[in-house]
Amino acid sequence: MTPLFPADPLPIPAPVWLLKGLAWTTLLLHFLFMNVVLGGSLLSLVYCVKGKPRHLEAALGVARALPSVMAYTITFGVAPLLFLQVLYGPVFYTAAVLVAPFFLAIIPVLILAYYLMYLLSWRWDKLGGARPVLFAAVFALLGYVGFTYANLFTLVCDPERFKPLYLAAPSGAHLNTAEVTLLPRLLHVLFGAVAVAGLFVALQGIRKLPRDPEQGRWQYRSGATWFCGATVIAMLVGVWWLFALPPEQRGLFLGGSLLGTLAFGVGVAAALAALVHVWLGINSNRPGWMLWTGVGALAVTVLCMLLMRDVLRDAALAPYWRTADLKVEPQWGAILLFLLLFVGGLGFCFWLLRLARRAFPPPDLPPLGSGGYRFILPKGPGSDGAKGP
Amino acid sequence: MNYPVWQVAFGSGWLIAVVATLHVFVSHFAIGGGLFLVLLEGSAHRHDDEALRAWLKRHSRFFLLLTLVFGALTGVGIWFTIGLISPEATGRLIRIFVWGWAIEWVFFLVEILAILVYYYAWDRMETLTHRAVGWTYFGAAWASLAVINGILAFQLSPGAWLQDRSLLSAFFNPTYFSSLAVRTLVCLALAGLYALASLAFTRNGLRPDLVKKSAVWVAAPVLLLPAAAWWYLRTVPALQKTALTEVFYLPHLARTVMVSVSLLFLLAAVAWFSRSKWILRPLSVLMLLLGFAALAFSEWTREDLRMPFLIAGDTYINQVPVARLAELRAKGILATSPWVSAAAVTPQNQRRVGEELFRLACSHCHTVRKGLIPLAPKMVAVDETFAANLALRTDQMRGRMPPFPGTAEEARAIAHYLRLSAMPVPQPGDGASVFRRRCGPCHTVSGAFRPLAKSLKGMAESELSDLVQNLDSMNDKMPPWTGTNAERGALCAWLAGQVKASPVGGAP
Repeated sequence: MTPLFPADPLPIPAPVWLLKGLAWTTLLLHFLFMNVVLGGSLLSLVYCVKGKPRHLEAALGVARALPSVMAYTITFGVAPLLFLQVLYGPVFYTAAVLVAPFFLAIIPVLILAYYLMYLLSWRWDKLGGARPVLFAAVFALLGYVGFTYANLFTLVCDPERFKPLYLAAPSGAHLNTAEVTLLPRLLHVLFGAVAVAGLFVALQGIRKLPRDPEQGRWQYRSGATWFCGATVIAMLVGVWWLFALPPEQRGLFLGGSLLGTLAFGVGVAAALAALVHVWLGINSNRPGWMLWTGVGALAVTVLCMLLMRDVLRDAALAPYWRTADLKVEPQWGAILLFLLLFVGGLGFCFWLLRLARRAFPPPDLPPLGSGGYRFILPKGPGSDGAKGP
Repeated sequence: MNYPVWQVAFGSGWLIAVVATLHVFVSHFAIGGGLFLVLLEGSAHRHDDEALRAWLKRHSRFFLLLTLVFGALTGVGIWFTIGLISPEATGRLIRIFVWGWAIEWVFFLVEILAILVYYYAWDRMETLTHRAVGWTYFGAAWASLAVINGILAFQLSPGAWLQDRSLLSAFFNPTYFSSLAVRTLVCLALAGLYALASLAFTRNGLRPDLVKKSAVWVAAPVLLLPAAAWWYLRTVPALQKTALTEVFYLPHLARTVMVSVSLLFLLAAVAWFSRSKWILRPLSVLMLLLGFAALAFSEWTREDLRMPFLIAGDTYINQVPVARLAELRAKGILATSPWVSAAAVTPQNQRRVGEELFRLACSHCHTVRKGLIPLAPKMVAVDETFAANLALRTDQMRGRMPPFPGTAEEARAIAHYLRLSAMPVPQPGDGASVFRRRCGPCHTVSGAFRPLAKSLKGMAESELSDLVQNLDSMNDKMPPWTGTNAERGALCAWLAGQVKASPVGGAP
């Protein structure tokens, strides 16, 4: 029988570990940025519907940030897609052909969503009642992108279905909605995005504390509450996702694969750590520190999740495609040049961020841990805000 | 044949043409426009010209919205599109150039951050620092062009890479520098074109000095473009250059580009004298349209110079690697591709398999009935045996087609399917029509492509008739005559007259 993916005679120009490492790093950043834009649009929609000035102020903060975060969502999305194509090219291209019209529609959908973000960011004052509609539109458009990618990447893991699907309709109008893990996967990502966006709102609130203590306090508490609630739901949905997987794939995270089990364990632990830190941060007198450690733990969680994704994909593809079988002929000169330019590029980015920080100085914050926030912390019942560290 | 072919109703070629042209028109502006902004900001600084600074700030808003959103995402769109339409070639390019793309991504990363800082920090940082950010943006943007240009130029002229497989040979290929020169000039001209439109549609009063400067930004690079294009054509490999004479529409495309560019120069001169928005508005729109046409047609010409390859000498347009052609022709598509429903052609499955084979081997450039170069109407105009013979000899035909990558049975299945896909219409029996149907695919009488007049010079009608009757005895590339005697008679009478009347075949 003709193999689905004949071996390509051209070698890949780098060791698999390097390509995977770069893909994971950039994908981690992509996921974090993507969660801010996807969850941020939904959270802002809720804030706009609630409509009190403090809600609108929080939504405005998100709206102002959306276009720039979107720029980096796209930039950091391109890189892993590049490395993915080196490692899984034939599988990816074939699955993409099967969902081609939906896949290609991502581009105009993203362009529209991006312009709506700029509209919200630059014309906020003139939009009035249109704001929730625009946030809803941005969320729906980004939701479409997520939905399509989820269909594509679940299909990637199921090459057995490629040929019958293609022969049934070569126009590529296939979605993978029959996949049992699709719904929990989507919901897990959605609640995860709301959680990250909540954390983003909370961090913006902390930045506002010195200038507008009341708004800042409310905002970091609201954002942190959203984070905690959404994280708990995402974890429960994650359990659903885990049990929706076929037993042999589920087993990968329960002892079947060292990397998978480790990533699962560390990921859950880091998620719990993030949850606890941010929860404590809600009423802490050091919310900044608590929230930033929460961000760190969250990044570890996301990294573990994408490692689990990788383990799952490699296991599902093993009968058809193994990255370990790829012929490798590293282009060391080009790799070195890339690394040098990458370091140089990061230097430029660092310089530009410094300039931006100087151009947009944050309000003066008391040093972390100095107890300097005490005067702005709530003193209501049930609050431990007045207590020192 | 390693990949399934996405079936696009109107032809997949249009899709990539639309996405790529829109992207190129904005992405080149993203480079030249960056230089325009930073140089004029310097001028505003030197002359303490606040009004100019204010306009540049507004112009940079338009610049950001167009390039960062539309430009960046259509760039991703090209990538999506080529992956869907040409996965074999895209996969090969990525395996060769992944580090080129990764380096381009680094420049892109810097470029994005620089343009965001540049736009948002107007009036918030020292002019010198702000300009340094602008220069960083331009430097990163141009560097990303310099990288991607290597990959694009490689597809047309892989040069020594075909033998040595070295990345340096692939990147610094024969058309690299000349192509970079052309593209850099296009970037500069587009900066002027967009600036004129931005000036014309600004709410404030028109600044004649800025209009003049912008007109010069158009005219100067446009003036240099012919020289750069000449250099480019000199570096194009001879085999690819012959397309300019062999593909009938390419000379027209090239002429359209030349006329558009000349008109652009003239209109830039008119713009230089414009003092009224009411003149400049339609003028700038017309110039943008002309610029778009020139760019679209020159990109189209470049793409078609590459025919029948996607990577010259390495991968054919229909996704067949050159190295696999012999195997495919020997074993057939059905035996080697997983994307078909049967392992062999049978009388029962001929139509279905023919459709699948057409999709895999032909649909990159052709549609069945409507859209991009439909084939069914051509096939239904001749008998099935001749149609199958044509399908088997695609590399002999006009339009620089790749060799048919399958067996004779598979070619016949395609012809069978195509002939069943269109309603037969009565075909005119005059000699010119017979020639067009049966000889025209591979010959002209006295045109540029494989002309017959010289070799048929002095032959009488009866001799021609004998020749036509025994075509396949001439060489193995000629198919046997399968037309009727009446068609043969009409053809030979007409052909004899045409040969006689042609400059090379005429009486001394």
